[in-house]
Formats: sequence, structure tokens, C-alpha cells
Amino acid sequence: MKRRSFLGLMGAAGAGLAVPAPARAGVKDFRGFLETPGVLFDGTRCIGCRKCELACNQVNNLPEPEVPFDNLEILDSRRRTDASTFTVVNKFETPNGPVYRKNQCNHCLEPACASSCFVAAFRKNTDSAVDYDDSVCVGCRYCMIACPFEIPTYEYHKVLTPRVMKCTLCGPQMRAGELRLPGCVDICPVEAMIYGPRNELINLANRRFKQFPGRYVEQIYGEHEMGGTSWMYISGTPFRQVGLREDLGTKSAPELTAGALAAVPVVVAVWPVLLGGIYAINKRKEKIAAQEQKQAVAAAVAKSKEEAEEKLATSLSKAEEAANRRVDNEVKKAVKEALAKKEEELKAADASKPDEEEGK
Amino acid sequence: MSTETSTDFKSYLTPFNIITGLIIIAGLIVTVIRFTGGLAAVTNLDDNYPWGIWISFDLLCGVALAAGGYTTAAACYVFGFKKYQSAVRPAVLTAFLGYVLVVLALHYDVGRPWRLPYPIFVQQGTTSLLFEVGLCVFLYLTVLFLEFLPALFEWKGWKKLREVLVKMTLVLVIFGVVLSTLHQSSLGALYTIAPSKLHPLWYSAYLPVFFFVSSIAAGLSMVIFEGTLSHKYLHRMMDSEYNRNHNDVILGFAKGCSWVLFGYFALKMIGLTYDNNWHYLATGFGVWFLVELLGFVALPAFLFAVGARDNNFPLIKWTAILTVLGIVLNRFNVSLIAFNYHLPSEDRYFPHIMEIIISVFIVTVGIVAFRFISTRMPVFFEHPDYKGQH
Amino acid sequence: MEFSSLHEFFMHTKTMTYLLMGGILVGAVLWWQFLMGEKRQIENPHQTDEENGQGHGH
Repeated sequence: MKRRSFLGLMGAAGAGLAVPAPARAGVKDFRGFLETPGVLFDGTRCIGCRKCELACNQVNNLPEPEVPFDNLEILDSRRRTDASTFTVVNKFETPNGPVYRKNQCNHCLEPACASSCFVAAFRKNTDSAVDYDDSVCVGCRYCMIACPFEIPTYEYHKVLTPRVMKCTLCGPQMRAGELRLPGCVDICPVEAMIYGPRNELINLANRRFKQFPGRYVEQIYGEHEMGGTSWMYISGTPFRQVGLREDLGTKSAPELTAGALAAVPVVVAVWPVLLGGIYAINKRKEKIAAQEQKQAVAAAVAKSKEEAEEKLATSLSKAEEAANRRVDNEVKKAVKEALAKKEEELKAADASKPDEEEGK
Repeated sequence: MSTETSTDFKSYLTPFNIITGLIIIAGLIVTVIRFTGGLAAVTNLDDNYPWGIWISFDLLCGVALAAGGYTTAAACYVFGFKKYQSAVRPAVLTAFLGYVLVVLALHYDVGRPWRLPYPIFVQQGTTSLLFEVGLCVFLYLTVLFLEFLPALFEWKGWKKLREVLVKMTLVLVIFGVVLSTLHQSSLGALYTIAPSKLHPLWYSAYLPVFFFVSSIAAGLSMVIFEGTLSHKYLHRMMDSEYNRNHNDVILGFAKGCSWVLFGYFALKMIGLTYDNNWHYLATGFGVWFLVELLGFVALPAFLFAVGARDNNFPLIKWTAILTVLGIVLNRFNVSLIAFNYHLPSEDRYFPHIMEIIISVFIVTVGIVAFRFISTRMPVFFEHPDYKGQH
Repeated sequence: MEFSSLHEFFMHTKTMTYLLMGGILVGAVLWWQFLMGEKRQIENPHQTDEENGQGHGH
């Protein structure tokens, strides 16, 4: 092979290796939704007018509520989202007077609902909206268990077609071109909400912190909570005072279940090995035990056979001896008898002799 | 109670039949309401409590208490405790019926039950632990069915089919253990996604391990408990082989259960230490946690050991009940009592009477089915044609 | 393949892992049979291939 072509091949191999799979660290870090749209809610601006609730109700064609949207007394009671209410504004009493906060789906960067859904009915869209597909939903409601923000709700009253209901970030309407902004953001009379790329929202929030020193708790709720959310909050009072939990941690839902999911294939691979091994060990023990038993039985049989033979031999010899003795005895007896007979004959002969002599 | 030979109506009116009959009628009425009025008509479920007792009791407890199937089969066929052979069939039958009932209960609980096969056949949400549970329960139900089929074939006298299945025993048993390990642990792992909702004393990254290990204890205790019940009420169906081994099984399982509970107790302590949760023990939830851990884990472990050492059968039987109650308590704690612990008490869930009726109805259906099958098929006795062939 | 979130990445890897798990379970059974099932070949290394083929039949 010519040196040049060999080098050429080497080069090609190197390029072939480098292009499709650039070596990266083993860390899995995904940043796909850091610059997609989000909403920043400024709690210092919200006046609790419930216009956003009204807009939400209208653009999503939700049923008319029992209490009309211009009734502000309802703010005194704590409310949560339900199957016909995708967003609610709650009033919180603080030392500095009442504070309002709007609640709706936060459209997590790593949605717990999506991670928990066993038919993958939830999907985070490229426009940041966490979409729900009711055509596959079984209605197990695990998403409601999983959601740390207690957002998804269920149509419990429906018999045949109950759905999980939650804010869609007006994704369907905006994709269809019906809306330019989410309904709630659009209607807000005080611009308490801003819609825009998430990274720019974070910059904006930080600018406001600088611009108005002392006005804000200088932290963006949702920047890191549960792996980060597309909908974020800034507030003048500690977040826990406006009903936002500060103990959620920064671990996202997929990270929380990663350990348990990672154990699944391990069990599949290792259990048959372990259990098969234990089975084989037991089988082998049984086999050896059976063999040993067989050997023991064979040995015992051989031994008893030997003993039997020996016994037979001795008893045979004894019998022979006895027989011999009996023969001896018989012979002796016979001889004795014969002798006795002879003697008697002789005696008889002696006795008859004189008679003969007398008779002569 | 034996009514097979009599067709006289009056002989059916035993207390057992009257009570089960009433429960089944009530259950059927609630079933109609559930499927015509929706979940809201029969449950107290709401947006904060999407899962009520149908999940806590029927799914979580049902699956844990049906663990006798895989533990007994593994003990007999893999670990080589041949003496437990006679306990395998009742345990497998209980497990099979248990899982059938779990699936039946899920039909009441989910919103669109006809879509239950979707996660397996339509769109797979593989990141979900519930997918894992669903897949394993589906596969394990098949395995249990195949494990039990020989009894049906013996009853029907289909020898060739039986032969095929008997040859597959080892594979089925090992598959069963793999699948059981996975879904028992995954039921606990369901809650690992919600650290903010479950009280820290019960939340742990070890939840899957807790659920798996405690399911073994539950399975062993259920075999002891059911063995006692069956002994009392189905004695006429048992052959001398079953009865001769019965005491061996109970002693062996009591020992095994005590040992497993020791391990479970150790794991719970590790969980406490790993997350540094000791300081919660001084709170109200802490006392409740200690009641569960000491009264329903440590105590039965000790009592089983004493019972097994002294051959004290009544003690073992009562301890088995205590252990089963302990597992039920644990599943309720994780899924209801310590779940949503942060909510104000007026937002908390209490089951609707109709939810309870459905749960009782489903257990009753199980008992009736068990009686029906075990009084006909060779469950507690060896079929005369297949004696000693295992 | 590009993934924009950890969730998408897991959805892909878990799906692949589940398929692999199915393969592992089937493979384990076949491997066990290969390992434990046929003893004749070792005892008689001069056996012909045809006989081996028959030996595997059940």
C-alpha cells in the first residue's frame, strides 16, 4: 500500500469517527427549552381583577362559572384549578397588605405529568406548551399525583369521555393563528405578565431587581424549581406566603424516577442469573445426594450380600457337619445294632447248642 | 355448606351464601351507578386526591398480598424447599385471582377502562413507572395463568397439554419472580416522583426496595393466613399429603417471614438515616410512623421467631394476621395518610361508602371464585392420576 | 439524535431498554438450554453434525 493512500485512509477514518459522534462528557444536560417562550408573572403588579380568569374561560370555551368573574369577594377563599377553571387568582394577606398571585400550569421544562404518563399523552411542544392528547388518555390520573404544582384536574363527572384538564398556554390557539399571546397575558390591564423567550424573561427579572431595590425578593421562582419551568414568578413577598412551595427542590421529575427506572433492566438481567444459579446449585446438590445415596445403598447391599453369603457358608458347613455327625451316628447306631444282633444270634446259637446235643 | 349434591333451594341459604349474596347485589348496584354516573357519582375523589382506596387497597394492597404466588413458587422450585410443593397450588391460585381482581378494580378506577390495553399496545410511555407496573402485571397475570393451568388440565384430564406446561415450570417460576420483583417495587417507585407530596418519613429513594421486601413478608404471611382459613373451611378438599406438609410449611414460612421482616426493618432504618429524618420522629406523623415500624414490623418479626422456635402454631397464625395488617397499613400510609400531608384537613380525602362497597364486593368475588375452583380442581390435593409427578 | 429535554432522552433510552429487556429474557432461556440442555456433544466429540441436529429436537 502506498504511504499517501494509507494516510488518506487514516484521515478518512478519523473524519468518519469525528463527524457523527463528537466526544462529549457523560453528563446528560439538555437545554432545549431555555430559550423557548415563557411567561413572567410579576406579583408586585397584580391587582386581583380576575380579568385573566375571564379571558382564559372565553378562549378555551369553558363553561360559565357559578360566580361571575366580576365578583371579587371570591378572592377571600382559597381556590385551586379545576376541570372548568384553568387559572385562578388567589389573594394572600401579608403584613404589607393583600398580595395576589395567579396560578396555572407552569409548563415545566421537564414536566412531571409527561414523565409519569404511561401512554405518553403529555408532550412539551417546541413553543413550550405542555400538550395533552385525550385520544390516548386512559384516565389513570397518575399525572395528578406526580404534578408538584397540583395543576392537572379531572372531569370526574363525565361518564364516557373524562379528560385531564389544564392550562395549555393557549398553544393550540396560537399555533392556529387565532391568538398572538396567551389569553390571560393579552388581557391583563396592568401588564403583570410578560410573554417572551425564557432567557430574556430571566434577564428582564434581574433588571427589575436592580431597578427597584428592596421591592422584590431577588429570586425567580421557576428558574430552577423542579428542573425549571417556562412560567416563572417574581414577588415582593416570600414565595411561600403567596402559595408557592419553596421545598420542591431543583431535581426534575425524570431525575427523581431515574434511579428506580435504572434498576428495572438490572433486575431483568441479574435475577435470571442469580435464580438460575441457585436452581442449578440445588439441582447439583440433589444429584450428588442422590448419587451418594445410591452408592450407600449399593455398598449396603453388597455388604449384606457378603454377610448373607458368609452366613450361608457357615450354616452350610454347620449343616454338613451336622449331617456328617448324623451319618456317623446312624452308622454307629447301625454298627451297634448289627453288633447287638450278631451278639444275640451268637447267644441264641449258644443256647440252642445243648438242645441239639440233647436231641442227638 | 356443601351444596353440590343438593338442588334444594333451602340448602343454599347458609349464612355464608346469604352474606356474599347481599354483598354481590350491593356491588352490582354500585357498578351500575359507577358506569352510568361517572366517577363523581360513587367516589369522593377530587383534584387533590386523584387516587383513593381503589388504588390504596385494591391495587397496592391487592398486589402486595398476592405476593404469596411468587414467594412460594420460588421457595419450592428455585430454592429447593420441596416440602412446600403442596402449598404452591393454593398460593398460585390466590395470586392469580388476586391479580384478576386488581385488574377488575382498575376498571372501576380509571376514567376510560376500555383503554387499559393502550399503554402496552397503542402508545408506550416508557418513562413512567406506571407503564412498568402495567406491563409487568399484564405479563405476570399470563405467567400465573400458565402456572395454574396444569390444575385445570388435570381436572379436565387433558394430559398432553399438561405435560407441555409442566416442562415449562422453571422458566415460568423465574419469569414470575423477575416480573414480581419489578412491579412490586415499581408500585413503591410510583411515589418517588412526588417528594413534595409524601411525608418525608415515608418518602425515600428506597421506596421501591421497601415495597419489594415487604411484599415478600406479605406473601409469606398470606400463605400462612390463607392456609389456616382453608384448613378450617375447605378441609374436606385436602389430601393427606397436603395435611402432612401443612405444619412444615407454616413453620418454614414463619421463620422465613421473621427473617425478611428483620431485613425490612433494617431497610426502613437505613431510609431514616440516609435522609436524616430522625427529627421527624418527635412529631405526630413520627409517632404514627413508629407505630407502623415497631408494632407492625418489629413486633411480628419477633413473634414469628418465638412462634417458630416454640412450634407455637396459634401464635404464628395471629402474627401472620398482624403482618398482613401491617403491610395494609403501610400501603395506606404511603398512598393516603402521609400523602398530601401538607393539605389542610378540610381538603383531605375520606372514602365514599360506595367506594368501600366496591372494594368489599371485589374481595368477596375473589373468595367465591377461590371456593368454586378449589372445591373442583386439584388445588389442595394431588390428582390421583399425577401423584408424585412434579 | 437530538433531544431537547431529559424527558425526551429518557423516553428514547427507556424504550430501547424495554426492547432489549424482552430480548434478554428470551436470550436467557435459549442460553440456558444451550448451556444445560445438551450433554451428548461433550461426551462424544466425534459425533456427526446430523446427529447433533437431531439431538436438539424435542
